[in-house]
Amino acid sequence: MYGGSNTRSRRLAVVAAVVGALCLVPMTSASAAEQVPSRCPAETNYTVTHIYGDVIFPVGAPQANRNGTPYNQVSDFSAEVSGTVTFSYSASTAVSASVVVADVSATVGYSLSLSLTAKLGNTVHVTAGPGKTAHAQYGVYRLETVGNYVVTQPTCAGTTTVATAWSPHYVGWLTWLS
Amino acid sequence: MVLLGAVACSSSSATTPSIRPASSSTTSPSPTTSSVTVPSVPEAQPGLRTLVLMPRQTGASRTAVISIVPGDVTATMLCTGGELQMYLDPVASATVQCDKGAVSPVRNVFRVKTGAKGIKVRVTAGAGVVWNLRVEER
Repeated sequence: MYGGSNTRSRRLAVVAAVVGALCLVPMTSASAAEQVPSRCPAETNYTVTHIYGDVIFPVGAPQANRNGTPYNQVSDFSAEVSGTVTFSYSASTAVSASVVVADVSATVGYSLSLSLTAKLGNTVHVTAGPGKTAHAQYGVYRLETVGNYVVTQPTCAGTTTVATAWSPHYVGWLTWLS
Repeated sequence: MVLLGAVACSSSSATTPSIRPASSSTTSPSPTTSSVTVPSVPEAQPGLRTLVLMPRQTGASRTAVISIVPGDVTATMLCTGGELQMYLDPVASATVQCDKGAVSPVRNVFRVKTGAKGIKVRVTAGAGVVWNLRVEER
């Protein structure tokens, strides 16, 4: 048989339980919110204040070749070793590499890396006049920036640290004559 | 106390016009064959003036003729798909190994003490190599 006093009692109990649960949920959330105010989103960011351009981080030793001929001479330089160059920074507190690199990338409008590998197989050829010496340095160019690293807590308390960052950018050569 | 950190380690301000190659002497670009998308070469850096901009293309380039002044001549490339040669005749040239299946960010800086005219900029590469190039000077 479908129905009966016992069944009705069970149904009432279930309804009461559901209504009670619906009432309890917002009350519980409200009391939790009172205990831990969340007026500010917790976040960390790096605001760039100065961009100093690319600085090469050497991979391998500098190479040189003097032209002892009375003619222009082309010197060939090859990458002698490979190496991986990573993000680095200077600050009074630890900073998140991924946060800094992401925020620097957003500021300059192109993608920077946490690390870049300068591989073997890349060569450069430099023309030097008579008596001149051609020089070449292989490595990874890193973008040097200075900025404010800001950590904001849910309580709105925040800390600001000035940080200099070097973010890997390109692989390649720097050449010059002397 | 100053922290020096690293993730891990193993080893004149001016507007920058986009100048297309001024003259041609080599083959025209062939269709793209790489599955990797090479983004546009980044905008000129503050303080640098663009001398040549060769947009994304495949294979060999046309030739651009430029003049340079004493200072740093910077050649920036994004490329993928194999080996290419980049020429700044007669100042310098470079052979670049572009990753296959990934984009290689490449920069070569040539520090010159004297200005020069008639510098020929060109790139040679196989049909499967996709690349772009920006040449700037400070």
